[in-house]
Amino acid sequence: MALPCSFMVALVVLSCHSLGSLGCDLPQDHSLLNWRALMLLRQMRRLSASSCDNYTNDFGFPQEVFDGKALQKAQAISVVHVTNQKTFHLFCTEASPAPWNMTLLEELCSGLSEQLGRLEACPLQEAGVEETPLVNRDSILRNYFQRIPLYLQEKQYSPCAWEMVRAEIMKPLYASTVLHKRLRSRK
Amino acid sequence: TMLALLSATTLVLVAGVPWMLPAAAGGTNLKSPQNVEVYIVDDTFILRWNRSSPSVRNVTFSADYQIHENGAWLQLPGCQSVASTECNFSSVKLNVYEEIKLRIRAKEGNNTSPWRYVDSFTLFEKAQIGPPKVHLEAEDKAIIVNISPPGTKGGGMWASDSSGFIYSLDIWKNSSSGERKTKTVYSRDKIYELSPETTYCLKVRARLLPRKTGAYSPVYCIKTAVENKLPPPENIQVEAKNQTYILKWDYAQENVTFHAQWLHAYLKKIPGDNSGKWKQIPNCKNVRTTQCVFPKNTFHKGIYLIRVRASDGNTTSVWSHEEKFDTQLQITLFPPVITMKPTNNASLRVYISAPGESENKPVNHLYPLIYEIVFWENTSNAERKILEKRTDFTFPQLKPLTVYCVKARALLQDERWNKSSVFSDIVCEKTKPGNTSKTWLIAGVCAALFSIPVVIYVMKLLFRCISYVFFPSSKPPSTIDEYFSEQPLRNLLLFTSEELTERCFIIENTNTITAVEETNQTDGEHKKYSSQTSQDSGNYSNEDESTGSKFSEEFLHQETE
Repeated sequence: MALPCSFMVALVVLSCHSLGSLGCDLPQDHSLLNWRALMLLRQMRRLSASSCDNYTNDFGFPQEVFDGKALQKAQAISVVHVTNQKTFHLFCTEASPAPWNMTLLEELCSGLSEQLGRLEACPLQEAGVEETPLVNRDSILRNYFQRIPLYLQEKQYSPCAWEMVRAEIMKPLYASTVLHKRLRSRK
Repeated sequence: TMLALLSATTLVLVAGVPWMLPAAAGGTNLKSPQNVEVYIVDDTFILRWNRSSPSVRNVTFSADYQIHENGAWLQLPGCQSVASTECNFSSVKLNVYEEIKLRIRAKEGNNTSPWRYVDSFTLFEKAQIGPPKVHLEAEDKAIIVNISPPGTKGGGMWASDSSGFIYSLDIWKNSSSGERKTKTVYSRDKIYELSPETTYCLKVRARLLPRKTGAYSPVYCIKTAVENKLPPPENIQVEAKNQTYILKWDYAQENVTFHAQWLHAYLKKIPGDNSGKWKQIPNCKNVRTTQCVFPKNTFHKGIYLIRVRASDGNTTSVWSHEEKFDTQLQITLFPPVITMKPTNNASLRVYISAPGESENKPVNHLYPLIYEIVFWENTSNAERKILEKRTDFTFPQLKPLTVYCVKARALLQDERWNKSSVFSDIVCEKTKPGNTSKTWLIAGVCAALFSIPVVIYVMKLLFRCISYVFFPSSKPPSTIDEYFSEQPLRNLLLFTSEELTERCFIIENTNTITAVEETNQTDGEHKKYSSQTSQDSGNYSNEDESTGSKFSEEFLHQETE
């Protein structure tokens, strides 16, 4: 289910205006890089949704994991990092071949890799915030991302299956950008 | 006596058997296992517990698992009728991110203990990272490290995390005084700045964010090679010029050729051997100069790694450091455009925009910029420098009606990239009067307005005072009126008072009766008195200065007749 592009761009651009730093919490240009990733994913589209009717699938995107109200800063970074890392693994490792324009794909992977490098350099990641047993966001989020390669495997990595995945992955990337914006405004 | 003793012993033995074999005594005393815990390292899943009664033998243990709440309990593979106090259930086909519950109980013959439950958990949550596998290769001043991620290749617990591992490497010289250094490395990386022909030892562990840190690998030691005749090139730089890039490096020796390659930077995050993925940079093979020029369209937007090596035909150097090259950052920063407006309270509002943009549009870059602002009072040389991220800000509460000047330049926010623009044109503006000056002005005007009538009143009073002292009035004080109310006495005292009008009749000439009316005379006239003849005119009047002269003339006139 693709969100209206103009709406997404408007929200992301709003987040881009709020310059300022969360220190080492989230990279300064995280929103910009995410925005670029969303734009590239949109450009990578090769098939229309109508030509892939039989491949529609509800992956059960866990919106509640990205809800910023109850999130501590370290948990939010963890959510953002897992999102980026799983997206990178899905599109940029050779484990799953894909029918994408290589120029666009390489630029997407460059950006994701750069974001991951900055997140990994953040010392806050070592703080080890304990999650309550009842709210295991990490497992819920990883479980969601687990369903995607299983779906691709089941559909034998067909172009339509990849098209469904391409559209689906925009949801967590967009939610990650909104989460980042909320955290910056909270500060 | 012997018989009694034998009977007593038999009785004791019969009574004591149930105590010695409590499990056989009825089954309700079999206790559940204690201290049950799940121990997972990579793809090995272990369930451990303690016996409730260590002395009891022939007890076996069995465990079940449940995926969904209120779902069926299934037998945990590898943990059925286990005699020991641990079992391996790695063969279970489970989603490592899905919550499961476990239970275990003891069994002895037909007797079973109550179930001991383990709170729900996910296998991933409990999993610890095992030691990675490490392969080393020695150069003269560097060691090439090749790390294989923990767990089963292509699957298992870390199936979708293989590109997410970060490796922490500890290295030290294999000597007694070896100083230990810790570095963060990729799965395939190089440790530089080492000494030739020296033995180094190292160990590696993997980390998975947010909070999993794995076990160290075994310690590996390797000796670096003899120093290479040809050192690798250094100080690799890339410059953009028109439609080309210029790749430059430093090299001390001559009569060598150079070879440059590039790689997508993101490939370093993917484990495995990517040595075959390095590609030739056009126009940069077998070049004799310490630079080469290649077209910009060689690289699409992205981040790359560049390396160079030297060769003299017989010997080839090792590869240089891998220099990171971001095409987005190969730009010339233009100086910003500054607009300044004076605002209330003697402040100056500053707007920064990129060339070609108006002050009201936001500055939009693909890379974060900060601005170095230089600000000074026009009549002074003292400059103030600040770093500002905002493009719309205010210098508050400056000196009113003073000219201030400002200039600025753009800097890349990332300290790794030392790029800045030239300074913008200088812009000067004069501040408005401060709010405090205005307040005083208004107060002054109001005070002036109110003081005018007060001054006038005071002046009037002063004038009256002066006129009273130097130019007294003829009017008697009011107190006099109170005390002297009779007319004659009053007339006596008040010489200067108004003359009372009298009507006089001259009786001497019976034919003529002249009524002479004297009117009031003003002050200052000479008083003259005249006496009357023997013939009493029968008319007396008070004489005063004003009437004296006229009266005497009438009398003389009458005498002569």
